[in-house]
Amino acid sequence: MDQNKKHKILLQKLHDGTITESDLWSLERDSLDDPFLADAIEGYYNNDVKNKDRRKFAITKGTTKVKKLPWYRPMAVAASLVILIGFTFLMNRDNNMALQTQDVIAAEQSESSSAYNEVREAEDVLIQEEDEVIIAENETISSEGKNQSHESKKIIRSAKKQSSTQSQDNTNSTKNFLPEVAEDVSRYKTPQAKSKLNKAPTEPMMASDMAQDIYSDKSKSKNWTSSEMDINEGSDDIVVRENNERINAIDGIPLRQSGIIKGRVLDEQGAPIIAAELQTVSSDSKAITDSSGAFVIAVSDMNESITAKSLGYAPSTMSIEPELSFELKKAEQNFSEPPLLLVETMDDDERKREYARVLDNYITTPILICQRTNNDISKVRMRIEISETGYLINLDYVTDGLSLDCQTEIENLIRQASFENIFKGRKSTTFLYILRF
Amino acid sequence: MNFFSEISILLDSEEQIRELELIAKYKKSQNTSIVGQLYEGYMPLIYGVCLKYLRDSHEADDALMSIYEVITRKLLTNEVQAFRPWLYVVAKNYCFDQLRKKNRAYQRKSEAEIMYSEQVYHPDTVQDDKQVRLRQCIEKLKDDQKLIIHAFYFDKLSYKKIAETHQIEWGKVRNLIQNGRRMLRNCMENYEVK
Repeated sequence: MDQNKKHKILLQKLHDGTITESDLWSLERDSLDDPFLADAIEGYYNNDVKNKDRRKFAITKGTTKVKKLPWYRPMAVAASLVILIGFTFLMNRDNNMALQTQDVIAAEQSESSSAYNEVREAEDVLIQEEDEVIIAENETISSEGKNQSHESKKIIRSAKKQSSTQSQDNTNSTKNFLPEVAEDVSRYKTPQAKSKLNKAPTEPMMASDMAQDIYSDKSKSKNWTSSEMDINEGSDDIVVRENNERINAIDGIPLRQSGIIKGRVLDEQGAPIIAAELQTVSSDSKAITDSSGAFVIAVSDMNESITAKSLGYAPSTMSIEPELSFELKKAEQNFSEPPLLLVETMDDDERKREYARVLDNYITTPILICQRTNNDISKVRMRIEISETGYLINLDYVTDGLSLDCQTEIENLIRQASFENIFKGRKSTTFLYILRF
Repeated sequence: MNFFSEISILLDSEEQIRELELIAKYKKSQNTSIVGQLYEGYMPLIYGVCLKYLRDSHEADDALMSIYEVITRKLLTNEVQAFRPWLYVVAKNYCFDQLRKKNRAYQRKSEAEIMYSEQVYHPDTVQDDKQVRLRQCIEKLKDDQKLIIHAFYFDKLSYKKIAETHQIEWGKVRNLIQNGRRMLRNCMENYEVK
């Protein structure tokens, strides 16, 4: 009988659990020389199969037949559409209200521009630093409009209680919500005040900070200060801490910022280096380049440097810029083999390098099939897994687009190397290896 | 080096040629039922492989169908010289891809250093005139290897039976057989040199 058909039938029996002892034995015996079959048997042995329906082993035809929709389907769709539209309408209404509130604030601001100039100078330092934050915040205002309108209403209401004696003009609709607090704030610090007013409940630091900065020497608005204290009740700790940090910043100590840095890693010829490792020098943030050599890394401190390294290249370190471009130079390879005993005392990184060096020494013959079938590929990256006893367990190709014959050639070569005991007596590890041809 | 009679090659060359013809036919007609015909013969095998790597029978069910879709696409563009090994690589890569997508690494249970080299042989297919040497070599094996090789090749017991009777994992049984065979081969070669 044809081996394939025999295996198919026997595996089906194994799947059903109806296999006889002698059939099982013959399968196992064949699997000793056939990794495909060995893998399959291992799969069946180590896992319980829940769905024992043998029909899954047949490609059924006509499964793509279109089913008729049940009658209620179109109605359900229509109903969900109606609900969706209803929701969108409600959300928009809230947004509009938020915008109206902001319009009124803006109107008040224009009236009070002369007073604003007085304080302007004293605050220049602050403004510069906050501009960036504000831009980002303003961008988010529209999306968070709903929440923020509620929040601003909240402060406004509580502030209004404190300063009810002064409330005179507030009569209609949204203007009802506009308190003296908002006026005071906007009078002295127009754009900042606006965003701060919106933000106040979530970041009490901002508002109270501002209150201290603006009013500390003028101290004319006791109303304001007391209402502000009211708002910040229960969050005094945060206020104090954040204030300290802000003071530090003013004294010239740079603010710690975080961000995401993009870049590429190239070799000397400008070709991308795939799977190069990137690491920030002090923190433990790491990244790996993709097939075009590009990477994205998150950094917690903009004053950091990033190191790029890849097997076979000399590592390089650069300070952070918005677009980082590393150029790695080829490392000088040392072909002398250190004594075997040393390897066992090495740490894992050193051992990986040593394995790669040993392989480099071993592979001296040209890789003929690869050269013939892959004209555009000059080096192959692969992950090699070596067992405790020095044999090749697994080989994954990082480089894409290798022909199957080339893969087989390389795999055979490395397996042969492991049979010739070049890794013998060394500890098991997985390492990245680059084969050039 | 010709100690052992050639064992049957796993794939008849006839079968291989038939498969290549089917692939050529599929490339021309793009009729997926041809791929179905090719794939069906391997489905229990692929299913087992997926079970091994994905460790979940539901995921293996899905993978079985996905790999079929993958090969209907790949067969059109790839130059396939031997279908069986190609399919094995495609299936394995698919499973590894799935694991990678789910951020899971494949955990190896048994560390089988399986010898899939050209010098394939089995102790029970040794020619008669080499039998004496073979006996001597088997005697030189370590006790556990000797025991397991005997149980497997001469008593024809399955891994699981052996594992049960000796109270070890079945993967260990396979390792012992593989290592035993390697020792036997070395021993027989040394014999020749002497």
